[in-house]
Amino acid sequence: MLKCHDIAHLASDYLERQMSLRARLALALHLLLCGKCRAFIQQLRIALALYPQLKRPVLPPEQAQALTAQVLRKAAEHRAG
Amino acid sequence: MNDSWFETDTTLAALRAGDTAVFTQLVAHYHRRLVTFAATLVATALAEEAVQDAWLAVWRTLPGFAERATLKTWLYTIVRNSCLHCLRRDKRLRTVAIDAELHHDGIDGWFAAAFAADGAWSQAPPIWHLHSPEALLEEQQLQNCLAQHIDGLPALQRSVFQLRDIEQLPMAEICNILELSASNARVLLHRARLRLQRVIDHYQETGEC
Ligand SMILES: [Zn+2]
Repeated sequence: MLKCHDIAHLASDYLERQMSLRARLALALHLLLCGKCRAFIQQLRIALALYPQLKRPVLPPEQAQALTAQVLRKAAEHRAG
Repeated sequence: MNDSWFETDTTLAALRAGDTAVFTQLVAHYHRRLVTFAATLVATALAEEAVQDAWLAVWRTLPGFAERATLKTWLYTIVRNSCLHCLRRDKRLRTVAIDAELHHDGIDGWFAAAFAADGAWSQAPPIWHLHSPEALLEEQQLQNCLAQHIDGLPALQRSVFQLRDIEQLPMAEICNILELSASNARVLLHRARLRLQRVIDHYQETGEC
């Protein structure tokens, strides 16, 4: 029988379906009976939906242009030998 | 502009044809993220330089980009190569780091505190009153707090977390890029998630970072 402790260890594998059917069923059975682990898994699910939406830093256009110019210059030097 | 725009046939065709305007947009879109990633592999001072070298390699090899993976995966792979180029003696250091990150990152202490000897919760996970990704996204302070704690993750946990949970790359490609076994990658990722989960718990309870 899985303990809450095991659920906390296996939570990612469960959410990413990286476990055997038998292990999944055992975990699902524990979740059916344990509200604390259900809350834990649900919170992990929420966090995983949040992370890809976190703001990504972008480079200001002038800096991107300067970097591209530098790349083109180096590429030309490289071709010239 | 989002990640998927750069994966469309039209954009890829423009990039392959050497369209400098689209290339500049690609640089603007990914540069900072790639530097953040590079900083998990090499010293922060080297990261910027490694990514600048990578952009040159990207520009020169784009015409032959074959779409075996996404453009995004390919960019991260080139940055990885550029970082390895920056430090040749990587391998030995890496082994030590993995070991430390699998055992001495504070997560074992959390397990010891959160669970009783019989394996049941000794303190229940705290109730979240912000109970959806959308509600969490509205909290600017939480976003800053998470960014700060992501920066504070051990280096390998940070690279796996960035590539998987932020960039959403497939696990197999991440293992490839980072030269990790699938099981190590999964454990590193889970430990990073558990740590950040505590950060959100704390914010939910106190409204503070
Ligand atoms: Zn439980």
